[in-house]
Amino acid sequence: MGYVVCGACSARIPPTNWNQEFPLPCPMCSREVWVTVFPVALHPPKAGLPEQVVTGQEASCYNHVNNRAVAACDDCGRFLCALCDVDAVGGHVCPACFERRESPALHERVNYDSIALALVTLPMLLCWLPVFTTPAALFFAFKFWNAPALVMPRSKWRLWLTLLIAILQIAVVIWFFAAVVPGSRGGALPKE
Amino acid sequence: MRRLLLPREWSPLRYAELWQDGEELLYIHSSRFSDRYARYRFRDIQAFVLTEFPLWNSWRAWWLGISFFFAVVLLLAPPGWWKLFAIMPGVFLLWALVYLLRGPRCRLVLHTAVSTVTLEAVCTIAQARAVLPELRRLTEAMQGRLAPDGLTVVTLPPAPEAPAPAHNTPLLMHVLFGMLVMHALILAGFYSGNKLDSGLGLSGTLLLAELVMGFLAALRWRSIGPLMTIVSAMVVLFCLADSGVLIYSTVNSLGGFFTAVSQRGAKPEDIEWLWLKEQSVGRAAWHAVAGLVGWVLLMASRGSRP
Repeated sequence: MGYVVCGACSARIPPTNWNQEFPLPCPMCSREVWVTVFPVALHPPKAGLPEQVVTGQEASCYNHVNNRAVAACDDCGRFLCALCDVDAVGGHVCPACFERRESPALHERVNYDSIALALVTLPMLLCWLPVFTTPAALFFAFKFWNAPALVMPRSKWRLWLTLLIAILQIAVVIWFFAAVVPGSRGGALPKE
Repeated sequence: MRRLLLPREWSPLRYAELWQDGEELLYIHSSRFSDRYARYRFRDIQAFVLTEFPLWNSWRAWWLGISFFFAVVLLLAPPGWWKLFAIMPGVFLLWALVYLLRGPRCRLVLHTAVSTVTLEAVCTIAQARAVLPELRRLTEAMQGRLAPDGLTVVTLPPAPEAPAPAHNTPLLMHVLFGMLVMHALILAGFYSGNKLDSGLGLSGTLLLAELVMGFLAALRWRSIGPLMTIVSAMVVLFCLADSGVLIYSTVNSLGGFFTAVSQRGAKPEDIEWLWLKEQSVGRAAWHAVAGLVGWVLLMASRGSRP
């Protein structure tokens, strides 16, 4: 890392302002900026160069046949040289498996319980919409009832609340069509 | 061992959290309908850049101006049933109050060799002051410390065990209990001035504000601890019950008033409010008790914290 910039104006903060005990004004916009730089920024760890395979008995890298293998991928088991060895948390993985681990599905989660709760509550502002959105909310609630938590545990209170409100809405709709609508028709009939 | 480094940065449409997960910093950013996770190893973090912003800027001044405009309208309003519309300035003023009490804003940027990320979990300077020393301690425990000359690396002794997570008492709790006591005093003032009907609109507004604040406080159950969570939930329940009483009495009173208007042309000052004295006294009593008990418990829990 050669430089750091102000979070407001993107001006470079001179190294003389780094690691001070108190924030110092930015040379461009004069806002107070507090820069804390750590040793890895100035002394990055050097990657080891791969060693060549000397004898036919030595294992070679899956991607580079002339390089000596130094580790095996924890996910796919392929031999890896120092170039291909990605130092992941808790072991070694090859670049392909690292890409797979870092796929969006693994660090992003859609909260279907929140979607179901929004579907069942927000349309109540427009009284006719729940007729369409309540089934969708129930679909989300049942389909993703046992969806596994990704990183942080998530309780089921939203799903329970969704079910409760959806049942109430269905009851109101049934009551409306069973009691109110026939009554209004009956009231409109001319008296004999 | 996962440890929350800072109470959740909350807003109606998003939230963000910072966790220590072993040797990693876990950053969670949620838009309510989807969560995004990012992990940064402390040994890979190159720098933290904290930029401070003043409390005021142009659009925030406009926004506060609008809220104070509504407040002035409320204060100048003649007595009458339309004061019930005081809910709008109440919401604006609550928003402004929370904004002002949270203090000046900041932006905290994390640098690694391959990424530069703005940590939205840290929005105020108070939050930065709370979390930045801990982030520095954890990172320096993995890398050592860089002297101010920018060249010398100071090796630090092994980091001590992380302290047990202490329950935080956000400013929101103080504001909530202060508002309860203030509400009781305002009702007492209206009672002594024999103008209880004039205070109904303001009382409804404050009830709504207390309901929202109690709900927000209860949502922070992970950081405020079980005792304050129970107190907040009780405040929410009392607010709901009291609001029900207020709405019921208002609807009944205005119904009778409108009937009187249609029959003989009654005036707003002719409204005969249902249970006016009883509900005002009861409201003032529970507000005073809840506010004082909450404050006492808050102080007691602060004193017993390790």
